[in-house]
Amino acid sequence: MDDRSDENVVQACRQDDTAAYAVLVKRHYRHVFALCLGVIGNVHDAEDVAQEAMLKGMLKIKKLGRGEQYEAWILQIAKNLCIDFLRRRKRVKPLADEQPMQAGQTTKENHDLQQAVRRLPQELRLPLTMYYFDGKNAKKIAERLNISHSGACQRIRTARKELHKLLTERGQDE
Amino acid sequence: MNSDCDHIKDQIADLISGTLSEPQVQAVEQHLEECPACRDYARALQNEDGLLTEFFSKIDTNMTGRQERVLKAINRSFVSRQGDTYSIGRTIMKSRISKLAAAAAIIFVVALSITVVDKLTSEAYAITQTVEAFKNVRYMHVVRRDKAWNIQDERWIEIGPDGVQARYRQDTSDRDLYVVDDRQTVMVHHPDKNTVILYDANDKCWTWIYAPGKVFQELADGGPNYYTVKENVQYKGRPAHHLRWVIADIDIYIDPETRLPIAHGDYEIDYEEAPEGTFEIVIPDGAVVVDKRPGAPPCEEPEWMIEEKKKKEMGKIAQGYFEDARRALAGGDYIKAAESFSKTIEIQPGRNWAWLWMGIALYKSGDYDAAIYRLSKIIDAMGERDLTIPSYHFARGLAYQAKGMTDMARLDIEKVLPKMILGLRNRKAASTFDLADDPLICADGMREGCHGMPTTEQSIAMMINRLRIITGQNFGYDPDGSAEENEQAIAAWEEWYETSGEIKLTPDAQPVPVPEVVEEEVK
Repeated sequence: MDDRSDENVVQACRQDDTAAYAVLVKRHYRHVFALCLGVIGNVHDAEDVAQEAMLKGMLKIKKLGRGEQYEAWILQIAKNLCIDFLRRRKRVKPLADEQPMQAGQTTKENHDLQQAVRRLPQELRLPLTMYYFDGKNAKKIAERLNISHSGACQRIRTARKELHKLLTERGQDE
Repeated sequence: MNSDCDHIKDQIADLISGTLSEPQVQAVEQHLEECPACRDYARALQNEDGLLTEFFSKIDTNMTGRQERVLKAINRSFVSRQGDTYSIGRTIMKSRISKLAAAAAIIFVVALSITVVDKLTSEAYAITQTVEAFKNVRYMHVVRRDKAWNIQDERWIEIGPDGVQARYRQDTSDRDLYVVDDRQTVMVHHPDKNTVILYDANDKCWTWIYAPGKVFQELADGGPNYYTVKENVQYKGRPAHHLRWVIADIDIYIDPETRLPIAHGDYEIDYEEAPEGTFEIVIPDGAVVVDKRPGAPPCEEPEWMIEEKKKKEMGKIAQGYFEDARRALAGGDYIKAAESFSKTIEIQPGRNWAWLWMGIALYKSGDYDAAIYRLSKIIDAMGERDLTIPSYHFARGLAYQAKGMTDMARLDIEKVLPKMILGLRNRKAASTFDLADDPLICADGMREGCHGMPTTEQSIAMMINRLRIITGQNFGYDPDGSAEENEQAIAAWEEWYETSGEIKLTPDAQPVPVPEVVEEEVK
């Protein structure tokens, strides 16, 4: 466990210390991945885009002014890449149905949940995904998404209610 | 179930999320003891929380493996960067333009006469300084790169004394499109098709920004509604002023010394003189030449051009459906409109307005689920930065409201409210809403059955009506009232937005009359 601050680690990275960048990957990759998953809604694509974001972060780290802002910076890079990805996908396969999130073995209950999460609009899926990846801490999500704490709570609340509606609607349809 | 239950449901969701304060927890628990319906709801959400936890933790289990893959990719990239300096240099030199640029570097001449650099640097930035600086610009060199820093799009623009594009060159490698315009002839080269097409320069024009000084002048004329400025920021490690073109949603960075843009959206700009030969038309060896200039002998077109023509024909068919659909929507035949928009999209899935109007037609026909589904698809596909996105959120918000999904409606409306308030004073901000509401508007108003944009008074009245539907507020705007009274009403809307901005969806709000256009008498 490396207890150096992000600022110190970024400083080391600026001097081409790739081992130092590994510290940043271990510390921040899961948040980057969660963001990509929340925006894109597909595990495999989220993995690709998150990797691209971490790689881009390494290539551009000398341009990061303040090392303590690494997390906000890398999340912004990831978000921009997600937007690019969605645009590219729109061009290649316009508006076709997306592949759902997949979490290992699929039971029927799990499948329903996957479908419902996938059907949530992006602005609800993102905070919900980050909530479950972030130790269920709404305050952290607010910081990471650069929104107010009450805004984060509101979105998680709405996401839960909408998800419940989707799951119960599905149950009634069958 | 009682009247508190709706409010309690919000709190139950917060209770499950652990975001409820202690006194509220007690109140909710007390309610749950008394209310079986809410108890069931709480159990269901609790169960879903368990499923979600399990679902995401399964995805989370592979995290270490993912991190390792990322680290391996980073190592590979690092090794290749250290050992491959030569190959990077070689790749860059593959660009024809870069070869010319390298040769020209020896005779590099700065086209700008910047004699007041030191003085300007210490002054506050004003956009008119950029307009002024463009008067001295003779060349622009504009480059867009991909993530690996390879050039994807490179353009050289010669600016004439009149401030507009003269000669032009475009090398867009990611679209396999190369264009040279020497003011007599335009050569378009498609290397993937091994074809060169020659046009008379009066018939075709490719451009990046045709008159850059004029664009910035229009921005300056538009005032603070059009742009914001943040001085003394950093752009990729360089000092810069950040100019945000609000309506176009584009970030521009200005060099504090020259007052000229160094970045515009995805493009980076410099102002060096174009290398000799940049604008020279050279037909690549072995290319099939299709000469479309007047007087040129007739020639056989290659297969791909014939295919393109067929595609254009299909495009015309799609356009026919699109026009039918527009007229049907304007005439109130919503089912026919939705069908015809659907046919348009089958042929041309990228027609965003067809998606929007199909959503609106479905909403107006009462098929709210289909409207929400279609609008959600296009919103997700377009991304939040698209210019027309406010009208999509507004339309979906109304559909959610009609379906009784008020929380979702609010989320959509919250997104568009700032643009709507802005639209009370800014025609461009309002125009996306005006176009969405009236499918018969066409840009010049000259096509048969079409008309132009609404007048300022009409546009404001329509925006007031939209605002009344989503806020339930009425600040006394009257299209027949005095300019002073209406100015006060608009100021009241702005103050309301600044101080409260509370959304209260009120679909039955009484609209204000939209003034008729009075045709000017022909003398």
